[in-house]
Amino acid sequence: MIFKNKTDWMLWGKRLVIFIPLAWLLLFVLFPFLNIFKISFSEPYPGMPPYASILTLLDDQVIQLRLTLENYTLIFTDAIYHYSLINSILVAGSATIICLFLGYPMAYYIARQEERRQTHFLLLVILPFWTSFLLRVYAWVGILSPKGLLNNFLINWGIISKPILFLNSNFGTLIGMVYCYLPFMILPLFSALAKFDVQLLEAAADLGARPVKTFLRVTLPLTKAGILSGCVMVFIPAMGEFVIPELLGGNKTLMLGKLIWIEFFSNRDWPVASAIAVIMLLAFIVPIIALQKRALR
Amino acid sequence: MVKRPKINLKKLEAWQKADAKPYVEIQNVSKHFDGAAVVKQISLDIYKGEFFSLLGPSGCGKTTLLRMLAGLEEPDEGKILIDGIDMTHVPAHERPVNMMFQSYALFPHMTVEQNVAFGLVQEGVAKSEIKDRVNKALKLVQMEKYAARRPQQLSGGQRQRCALARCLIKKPKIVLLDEPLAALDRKLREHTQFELVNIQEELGLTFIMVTHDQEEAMTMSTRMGIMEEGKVRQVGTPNEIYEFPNSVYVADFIGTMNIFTGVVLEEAPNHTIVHPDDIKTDIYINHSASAACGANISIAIRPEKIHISKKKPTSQYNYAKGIVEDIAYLGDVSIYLVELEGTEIIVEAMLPNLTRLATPEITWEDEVYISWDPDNVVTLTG
Repeated sequence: MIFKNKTDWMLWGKRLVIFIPLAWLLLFVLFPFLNIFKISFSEPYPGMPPYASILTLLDDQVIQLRLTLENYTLIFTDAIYHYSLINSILVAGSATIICLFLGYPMAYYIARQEERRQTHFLLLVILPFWTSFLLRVYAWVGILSPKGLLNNFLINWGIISKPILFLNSNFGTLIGMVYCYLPFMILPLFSALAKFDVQLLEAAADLGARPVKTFLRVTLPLTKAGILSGCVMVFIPAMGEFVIPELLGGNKTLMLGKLIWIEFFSNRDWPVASAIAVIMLLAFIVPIIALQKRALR
Repeated sequence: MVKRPKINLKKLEAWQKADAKPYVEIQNVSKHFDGAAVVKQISLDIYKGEFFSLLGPSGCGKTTLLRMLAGLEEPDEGKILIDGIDMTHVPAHERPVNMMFQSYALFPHMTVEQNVAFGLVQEGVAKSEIKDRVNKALKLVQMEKYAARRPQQLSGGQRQRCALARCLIKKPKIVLLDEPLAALDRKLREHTQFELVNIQEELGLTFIMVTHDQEEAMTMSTRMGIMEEGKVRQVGTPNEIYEFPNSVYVADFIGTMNIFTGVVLEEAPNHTIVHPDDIKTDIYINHSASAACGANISIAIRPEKIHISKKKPTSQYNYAKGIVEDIAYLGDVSIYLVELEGTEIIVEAMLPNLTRLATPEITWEDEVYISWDPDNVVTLTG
């Protein structure tokens, strides 16, 4: 390519910079999703891959397109899918709310420190990421199991006499989720609170607002962006979470992410699994992101 | 005898009346940050309806003092009384005081209208009354047109007006202004200075302003306090401070001063003669310096009170010979820098440019005599 002048060169440079992330998204997000989307309309088929091709060549001239909505009707009619959907919303929703209530004061505290201490605290927040996610969830099995750390502690101190079954319940799943996703809540909240001009608090107090009123009418509305992105960053992955409900929730906790795994690997029903994935994406993620965009305007 | 114009005897100002009760009383207030004293035992009385300025270089503690009046900082020692009530430990949201912040601190998520209404909403004022008062306040600062805008959509001057309306709307006992005009450009600043004073007089409120801009303080204040390193060095009207500074610091800080040192030769109730260290002729002053003979003294003369001439003055006192080092043409006036003969002392003299085309009579490298009136010499012992 011949660049006539510097402007040309810069223009191509700009295009290249945009092209890389665009290509990445196309290749690793859009194409896989389209594939899943396609599979969700095909019929199950014994073999590998375990679904029938939607396009078949009947003879030289005719291409047959076979689409079925059966996967979707099954999801909409079978109670187990409804149950797991509701349970997912409940668990992911509670985890999000708990993370928000734990994370906000933590982020607030960190944002009010001097810069050097902020770095230390933020380092502590993201320190768990140095260890594998799976390993950390396993560690919670050790803590929550009937003969685990927590039960032993409570029994030794005479608070309870028989071990409490933390594991294999929504409660266990919830603890795991709050633990794992708290940093994703704290970080966006922190960046919103760090940008927040403290003088606005003084202005509100000066105009006669009590501390609680100041928080509700000034701090909260001005950190809305952080709250929203924190909630989205916790809620969406929590909805699709597989490892935590599998290890800490046992077979009593059915969540969408786990259901997809079961359909894919245990039942080898790729079309139904794909259909669940498509529904999740369209029913939750797209509206949430749209809502977030609107709320921030 | 020179005929003098008749001066009407003005009514006494609040701080001149013997029985006047101060509206704001600052009593021995001190404040430390990290062990360093920022405000040192300041006592100050401010009267109702005053426009009082705290003037000083940055770091002199003026903003801290203002914040203590607002309740945003608590004094370590001393008391603050507002309208006779001890407010020293009353939190900001309970004080009858509103502040205009240097950054304006407008709420970015609220419209101009909501920003201005904020204080009234906190008070629980009825909605219809809020609307009424907000409209009035916006009208006062000529911002009715922008009521629905957000602060980000306003220019610097409009933001300043919005902030002003917000801190006036509750009719506070004191309005505190922290460098209110610092963010405006020069033209707008000069215009706003007069407007602020008009608003203050119209509403009859008490204003306390912090500024580092002496011109601003001189134009706007009824009285001002000159601060240095946590202390108030002098309190007075702009005229008193300019013409009768009480210390070398104040004289040097306000405007430009030519300061000489010397020894008192003769001291009487109606005149003083000083032998300056660097000028050959003695200085005759038309008042008592209240200093003993032989004492060291500083004397100060404003540049606009110095005459320049090529002819040697006939008087025995109050002149010096020098060479014009530099001339700065400022439009309305020209400033002459004259190096005194046999010294390295530069004296600044200011002459008005009264005609347009004059070829200056005095130019660079000219030998000149500077002289001054015995009335226009300030003696400084502090």
